[in-house]
Formats: sequence, C-alpha cells, structure tokens
Amino acid sequence: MSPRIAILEGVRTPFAKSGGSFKNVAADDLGAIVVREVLAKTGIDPGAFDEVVIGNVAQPIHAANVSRVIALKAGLPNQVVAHTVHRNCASGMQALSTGALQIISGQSDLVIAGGTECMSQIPLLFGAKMTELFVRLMRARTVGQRVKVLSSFRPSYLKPIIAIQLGLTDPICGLNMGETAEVLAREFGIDRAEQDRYALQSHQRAVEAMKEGRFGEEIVPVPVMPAYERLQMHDDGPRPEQSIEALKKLRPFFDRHAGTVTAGNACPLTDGAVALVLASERKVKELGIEPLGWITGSACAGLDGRRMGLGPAFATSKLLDDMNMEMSDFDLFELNEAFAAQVLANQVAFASDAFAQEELGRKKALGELPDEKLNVNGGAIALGHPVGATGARMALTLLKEMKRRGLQRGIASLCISGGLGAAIALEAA
Amino acid sequence: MISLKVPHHGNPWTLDIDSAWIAWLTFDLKGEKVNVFNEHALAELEMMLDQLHADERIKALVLTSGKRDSFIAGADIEELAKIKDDEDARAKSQAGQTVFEKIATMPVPTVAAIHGACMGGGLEMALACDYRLVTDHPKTILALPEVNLGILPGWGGTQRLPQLIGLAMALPMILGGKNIPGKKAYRMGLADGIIAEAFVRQQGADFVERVLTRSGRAKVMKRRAKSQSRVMKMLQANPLGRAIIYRQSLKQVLKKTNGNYPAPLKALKVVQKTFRRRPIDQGLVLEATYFSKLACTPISRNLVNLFQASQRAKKAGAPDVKLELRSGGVLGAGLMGAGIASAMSRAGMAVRLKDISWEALGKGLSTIAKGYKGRVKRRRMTQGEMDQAMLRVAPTIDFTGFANLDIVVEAVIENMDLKVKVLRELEDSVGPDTIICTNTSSLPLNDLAAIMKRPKRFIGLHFFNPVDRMPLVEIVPCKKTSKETILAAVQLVKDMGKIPVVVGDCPGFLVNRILIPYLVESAWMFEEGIDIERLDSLLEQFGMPMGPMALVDEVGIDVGYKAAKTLESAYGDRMNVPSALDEVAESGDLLGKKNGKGFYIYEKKSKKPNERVYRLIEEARRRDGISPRDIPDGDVIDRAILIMVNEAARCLEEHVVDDPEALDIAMVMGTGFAPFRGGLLRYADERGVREIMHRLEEFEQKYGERFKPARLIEKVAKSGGRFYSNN
Repeated sequence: MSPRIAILEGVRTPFAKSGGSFKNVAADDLGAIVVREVLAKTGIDPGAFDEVVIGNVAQPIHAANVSRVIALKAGLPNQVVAHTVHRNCASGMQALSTGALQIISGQSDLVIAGGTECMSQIPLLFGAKMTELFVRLMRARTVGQRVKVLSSFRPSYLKPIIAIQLGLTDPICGLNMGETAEVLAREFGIDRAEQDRYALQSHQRAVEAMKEGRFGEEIVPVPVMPAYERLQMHDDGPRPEQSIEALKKLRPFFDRHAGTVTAGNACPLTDGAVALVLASERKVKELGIEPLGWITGSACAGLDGRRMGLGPAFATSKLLDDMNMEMSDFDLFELNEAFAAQVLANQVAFASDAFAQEELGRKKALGELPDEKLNVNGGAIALGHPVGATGARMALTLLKEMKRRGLQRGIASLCISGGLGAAIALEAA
Repeated sequence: MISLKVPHHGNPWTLDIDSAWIAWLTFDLKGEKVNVFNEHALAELEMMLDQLHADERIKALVLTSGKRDSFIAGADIEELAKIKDDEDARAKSQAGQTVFEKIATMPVPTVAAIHGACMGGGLEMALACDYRLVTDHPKTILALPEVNLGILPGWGGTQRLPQLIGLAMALPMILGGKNIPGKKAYRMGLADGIIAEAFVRQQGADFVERVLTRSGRAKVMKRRAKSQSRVMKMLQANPLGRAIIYRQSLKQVLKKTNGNYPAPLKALKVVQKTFRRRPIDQGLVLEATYFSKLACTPISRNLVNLFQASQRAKKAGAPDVKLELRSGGVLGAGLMGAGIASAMSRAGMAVRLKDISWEALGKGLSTIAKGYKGRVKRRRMTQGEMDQAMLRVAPTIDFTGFANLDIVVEAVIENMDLKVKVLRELEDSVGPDTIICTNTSSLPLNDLAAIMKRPKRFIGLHFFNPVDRMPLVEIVPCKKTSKETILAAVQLVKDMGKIPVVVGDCPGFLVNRILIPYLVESAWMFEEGIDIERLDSLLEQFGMPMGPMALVDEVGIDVGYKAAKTLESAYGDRMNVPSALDEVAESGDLLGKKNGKGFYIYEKKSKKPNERVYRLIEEARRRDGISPRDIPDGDVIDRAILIMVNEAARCLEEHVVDDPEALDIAMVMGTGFAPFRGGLLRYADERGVREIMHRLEEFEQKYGERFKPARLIEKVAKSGGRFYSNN
C-alpha cells in the first residue's frame, strides 16, 4: 500500500461488559449509532459516501450483512452500498484495511469503516438431536406421528450449545483462546505475578485516561434499550479500585490446576461499536476537511494457531518490510490486550534477536516495545474486547493520542484466533 | 374536496368479458383521483347490471376499480351536501339500495376484488356481492364511516354487514366507523380471500374458478363461518343474547358521544329492529327511513362541512411543489420537544434532539419510546419500525450535525431571555438555508424575529400539548418571514400528519386567544356561585369534549393561569382574570391533574370536586365583594360560548385569520369544540348573529363590559348576514 488514506473522523460507543448495559442493544443498533454520529460530526452529505465496511464476528442472525443494516438504520441513502468483513478478532481493523484498499483501487473515494459486536446477544443453540427432533416433528402429518416423535424426546436434548464458547475455540488446533495464552506463558516463562501486574497497569492507565477525558473525545453516549431513559456514558470495564490482591485471589480459568491465565488478566466479553470515515487524498482536498490522520500501511500475517497470540510480532514484521521502515521510525504502539501473557510474550519476542532469526527470518530483533510507548491508555483487559470492533477502536485511540502528544507515527496490531496477526500503520495529520 | 369539475358524460364502468366468460366490471370515474358513487355512476352501473343479468353466457361477475391504490371512496359527498329534504334523502338511499339489490340477485357468482380504500357505499356494494377478495396492501382499508358525517349506511350496510360477520364485529364498524385493514377483513370473514394487487386478474379468476365448483364454494363458506367466534354466534342467535350486545353497544356510543350525535343511535336502532327479525326488503325500507331522518339535520350538514373543510386544510400549502424535509432538529427534550422530535421521526426525518444534559435527553428519549411502545401495542407500528424510528432521533448536548439540517424547531421553556440566547446560538450553528421555527404559545414573535440575522427563515409554530394526540399546529409567520419559509413550515406540519393553520401574530395566537376567555369566564361563573360539576356538565351537554374546569385541570392550573395572565396584560379589561383563579393558582400546590389536585381531586379512575377550592373561593368572593347568585342554565352556556364567538369575531376583524372556515377547523382540531356544531362561527351563523348580538348586549348589562359585542358582530348582525358569506 503506497498512497495514504485519510481518516477524517471517528467515534465509538462506550464499551460495556456483556450481559450489562447493551444486552438489549443489538450489534446493528450499536453500529447504526456510531455511523449516524460520525456522519453528523463530519457534516458530509450522506449521499456522498460510496461504501460502508463493517467488521463483525458473531454475525447477528436477525441482521445478515450487518453492515448494510447499519448503513440504512444510520440514515444513509439506498445507493450507498455496504458489506461486512470477518477476520475474527481483527475484523474492525480489517474494515479499515478493506476500506483503504477500495480507495486505493479507485473504486471508492469516501468510505465509512468500523466494527461492531454485541457479545451479549450471541445465541445458545439447540444440539443436533433436538434439531433433528424438530425436523421430524415438522414432517409428521398425523397426530399419531407427532406423538411418536415427541415421545422420543429426552431432557438431555435441551442442553444448549454455547456458541460463544465454540467461537472462541480454534477448530484446527482445538485450543480455546485462553489455552493459547497458557501456551505462550509457558513458552516465554511469564508467571502469574507478571500477568497480574500487567493487568493492574491496564486498569490504572484506562482509569487515568477516563479521568482526563481522553476517551470522552471519542465516545458518543448510547441510550440503554428498551427503556431509553439512561444513557451509557463511559466504558464500564476499567476499575479504579482494582488491586493486585484482588487479582491474586482469582482462580485460573482455563487450566484449573497449573494455569496462570485468570478472568482478571484476560480481556472480558464486551459489547461496543466504532466507526471512522476514510477518504482519498483527492476527496480530502475537495471537502476541505482537516483529517485526524492517515493510514499509511497495513499487513496481515499467518502463524501456528496454538501461538496465535504472537500474531502482532509476525504482522508488524511484515508491515515494516512492506513499508521499508523500522520500529524506530514509530513513536507509539497499540497492541491488543487479549491476554496479559500474550502482550508480555510479544514484548519479549519484539526485542529478541533469536526470535527474529528463528521465526521472522530477520537478522536482528524487530525492536523494543517499551512500556511507556505501548498501550498508554490501557487496553482490552480494562476496556474489554468487542471482537468485531476493537481493531478500529485501537486505530482511533492511537491517532487521538498521537495528536495529543504531538507524535507522528504509530502502529496498532492484534492477535487473531486461528493463527493470524494484523497490523496497521498510522500517521497523525 | 377539491376536485376538477368535469361534466359527467361517459360511462365510468368498463365491461370486459374474458375467455372463461367472467365479466370484469371496472369502475373508473373520469377526472377524479378516487371513485365515488354519484347519481350518474349509480345509474350507469344499474344499466350494466341489467345487461349482464340478461346474458346467459356469463359465468361470474367481478367488480374492480381502475384507480391506483383506491377502490371506492363512498358516496359523492357533494351530492350528500345537497340533499334537499327527507324525501330526497329517502330517494337517494333507495336508489342505491335498488342497484345493489341487483348485484345481490345476480344469477351468477359475484365477487368484489378490492384494492385500496373501500369506504361507505363502496363497501356496501362489495357486501352485496357473494364474495369479497382483498389485497394485502396497507392502503386496502374497509370501513363504513357514515356516522362520522352524521348519517348511517343507507345502501344496505346495516342489513348485510351484521348478516355476514355477526353483530359483535359489525356494530363497531357501523356505529364507530372502525377501519378494517385487508388482512383483518379476511380474518373476520368480511373477505374470502387475499390477493396481490399485481395479480388481481389472475388470482381473481382462480378464485372464481374455485367457487364455481361445489366443493370450492363449500370450502369458502366453511372458512367464512369459522371466522366468527362460537360464543358470539350463540349470543346473537338468542333474543336475550342480542339484547346484551345492543345494551353494551348503546353504552359505548353514549359514552363516546354524550348523546350529542344521533347517527350511531339511529343506526343501532335500525340493526336492533331488523337483524334476525325482518326480511331484507323490509329491513332496507327501515334503513332508508332512518337515513332520511338524519341526512338533512343541521348536525349532519355541519359534520359534512367540517369534513370538507378539513380536507381542504390538509391540502393547504403548495400542492404541486412538495418540499422534501429530510432532517430536522429540536431544541429542548421536555414533553413538547420530545413530542415534536417523535412526530418528525415518525415522518421519516432524521432528527437531532438537543438539550443541555444527557439526563434531560434520556427523559426525552424515554418519553418518545413510551409513545412508540403504545403504538406497537396497538399494532400501529411494528417493533422493527419502532427501533428504526428511535434510531432516527439522535440525542446531543451540542450542535453537532446542525449545520446540515433542513429545519429546526426550538422548544425550550417559555422564557424570553432564554429563547433569545438559544435562538442566537442556534442561528450561528445551522446552515444559511436551515429554517428556524420557535415553538411558543405566548411570546411575541416579532420581538424574537428582531434578534435573528436571517428573519426571512424564521417562523413561529404553536404545537398543542400533548403533541402526540393534538392534530392542530398554528403556524405564525413574522413580518419578515418569507413565503418559502411558510410553505416549509406547512409541509413539516403536514408531514407529521397534522393540520396546519396559518395565523397572524397576536397574543395567544388564534386558538388560545379564543379558548382562554372561555376558561376565564367559567372561573367568573364559579366565583359567582356555580358549582364546578354543574359548569362542566352543562358545557359537556353543549358538546365540548370536557368541561372547562376539568380542562384547566388537564392543562395544568399553573400553565393555564400563566396564559390567562399573559392575555390579561395584552388585551386588558375584557380578559380580566377573576380573583378566584388568583386564589387557586397562588395556593401553590393545586396544579391540576398532574399532581392529582386541582378543581377536582383525582383518584385512580374517579374524580370529585375539591372542597379546598370551595374554601379558597370564599375568600376571593369576600375580596371581590361578590355574593353567590344563581344563573340560569342558558346563561351559563351562553356566557362561556358567546364570549368565544365575540373574540373569534375580533380575530376575523384583525385578520388573525381571514377565513371563518380556517377558524372553525382550528377550534375543532385545537380544542375539540363540538364538531357536530360545525365549528364556532358555523354555530354562530346557525344561531343567528343578530340574536348573538342581543345576548351579548344583555350580558354586557348583566355581567360586565367584557361582553360588549365586537364591531364585526354588530356589522354582520345589522346587515342580517352570516360569518360564512356564501352559504
């Protein structure tokens, strides 16, 4: 990717823990609210847009191609087309990359890109036996046949399949995401205490950012349905009272005996949405709008699914190669906090010559990811990780922070279930 | 109704006989947007039927409409307005009955294929057919709205409908004019099949083919029979059961009409006397008799006039240029602002709702959501439509997104300094073409216009509370308001499904300026010793939807008092507020219905006069030196009503509105003024302006100078004329 793509504006909903404030606000409604507001903020005529690209993982069953539903609900006219992208945990970032590529290809000049996820509404499913019973029941013609089918029912048939659990499990290597974090913890020797310390820091940094109103700049309050009376104003994940003692008390969640990953040092299930406006350089001039910043590159890399947490190292390496740049050219980093163990493993990997030689085919280490330049406003451990939205949120947060600090370049990256990593390079305007 | 007056030449019915020998008879009245039965169309239909009757090759007859999305709107309302006397009315009724009887006695199966509105005489024609098919289109509505015009279905509707769908379903349609959507008509057995508008011919022919076989016919009849509830069937089969249904219906009618509207009562009587008791020929005679007793009454005439006037009002503005208002803003998320935002969103507009705090916005949004939920419950809206309508209302605490809005309504509280501040901010935040409306009921608009940089694009709107239920909006142009701005405001009001009336800028505008003297006069009479309940019941008998004291409670004593005081300072002595009201308003905690304490004490479902108000009034009397006296019923009603007529005359005089019709529509829609009286000025004309002048002069002597007749009343009375000049 050589030309740069402008990010004109961006907003997000507060991130709310699943089963909480947004349990009745569907992914398409969350998405529609941010698209509507980002439109209002730019003041661009909705009819001028070419495409809406939304990332989403657990595609809501009531809103297939959720991107189109969002576009129409947000008030975009029929002629503005829309499609949904899915790159698992990086779907929100993929929306930015896809939008950027559309602009580079010349197909579009003005794109809304973002992500949405309502993990609260991921359904429970009937098992194969219950499904089959329903099918037979529908086919039964006589009362007798119906009675016969019904008599074959067993209470065990009602045991639901928890879709979210399956979704968080890699069907190829068979590990769920928490287990992949345990793999990295052992490989890089990251113990429980280190992970908890990192988790605490995430909360402290997020709470500080909230207090300073840094997130307020990017958030639009969302009315809590179905009453609409209360508005969710802030992220509800960051805990000002979080203590290391409280984190210590938690039991390992994925490996009850010898594990180190707990609900406290992993990111929680969360609901939220983000939308950004992307434009070609030509369009920026035409509209006369000062952009927030630019997308200057993006990359996606593949690796072993069991070590998917190292995705950021692989993707960043590829991105730097593509752009012919080095870590030292960048001033600020966001690396998604799926798990504390996984962030810490990346810090080691980024700095390691051996890792670079063995895994990345580089002579020397990528370069350090120092604490003071990494996730300076906290991350998913505190804020939560609405899987379809996070990638876009990181880009928005990173751009705004670079502007605040007067810095020039930054990289946001994520690890992706299934053995992928994604990274995007941004430049402040 | 405005319609091109094309002379009735040519036959509006076209006959087309297809290869299966199905006769398709299509109604398409030239030069009209919708089909109506006028004398000519009826006569032509009769001739066609006679011809078909004689043709033995025909297998079936299907009646359809050639109009887009409209079947038959009913009888020609202009002919209805011209009925001379009872005999003429009876003849009109019998003419239709005879034609439809010919449909009923056709030797071949007859089918009405209904797409679009099928009202009144249109439905009565369809009822005369053996079968009815309806489309699933939302515009397909079946109804007998005759009672709303003060008459009853006089072309067999009172006979055939109960026969077809049973008393329990038929009476709400006949007595209440209830609208029945196509699909519902099918469910209740009023229709025998659902078809698609695109395939009327094919699916109509399929249906005919089916009912031409014995088994197909049996199936249709069985389904029709099954759509009536078994309990209701049993109930109506038995005279005692029927008596229960009739008693219930009578109760409901009386509750709704206060006995002021004879039409539903007469219609009920016809059904009662004929259903299961008389053969149809005798039933039809009785129907025609009762129809003729209603058609020439002043009540019917008034309702017809009012209907035509409201049709004209709905068409106000620029008929050929439809402005597109796609986005709107509302300032203030209080009850008013929320109501306006809700109506905008329901009209499909993208709305930005601004207030100073997110708490206030949350309250506003929940108000809107509650309103929509009610609609979802009543099936006026689907859940999906509600979700989308809610998403169209975007809450904000700053002016984000205002630069591109088509129109903004400012609805903050009524305080001059605040409005000035807010309007200034607003004007700096919107685009140069955005129209700015200020919603006010009491502030002088031209003073507000003076602070605007673009007064051309500034206009006053007066929404009534609650916005959701009140159909009228007063539009108040300022001196510099442009024509385009007025048209846009009219368009907004129409898009909201409400009726606009453009009025001049004066304190109270039109409706409140006339209504408040009525409330104040009632307070005077209360102070003079008239019971709260007597006052209210007398004016309800006159035909007001609720008595004046109950109305003040409804509006809120604080709100009503403030408005009365504003008008008192604007218009001086003739709007003096009695001490009685001062006393009650200054008590502090008597607010009306909203806190359960006003002129009445409100408990769950009942209300009783508030003793405390009576004690307060004693003091007011002492201070004003008034000793209680008795006032005859006639004086009570006339004092309340004629003081309005007097003020209405002044409004005409001062050109607040130019047209008595606009004034009447405004009073009926804005205050619920007795519709059967046709409006305030229509009532005055009927009563005689000269008599009204004498009464006012009498009252001026007896009760005070405020009754001094307006100059226009004197002028009209002296010339022996009427407010309505032409009829």
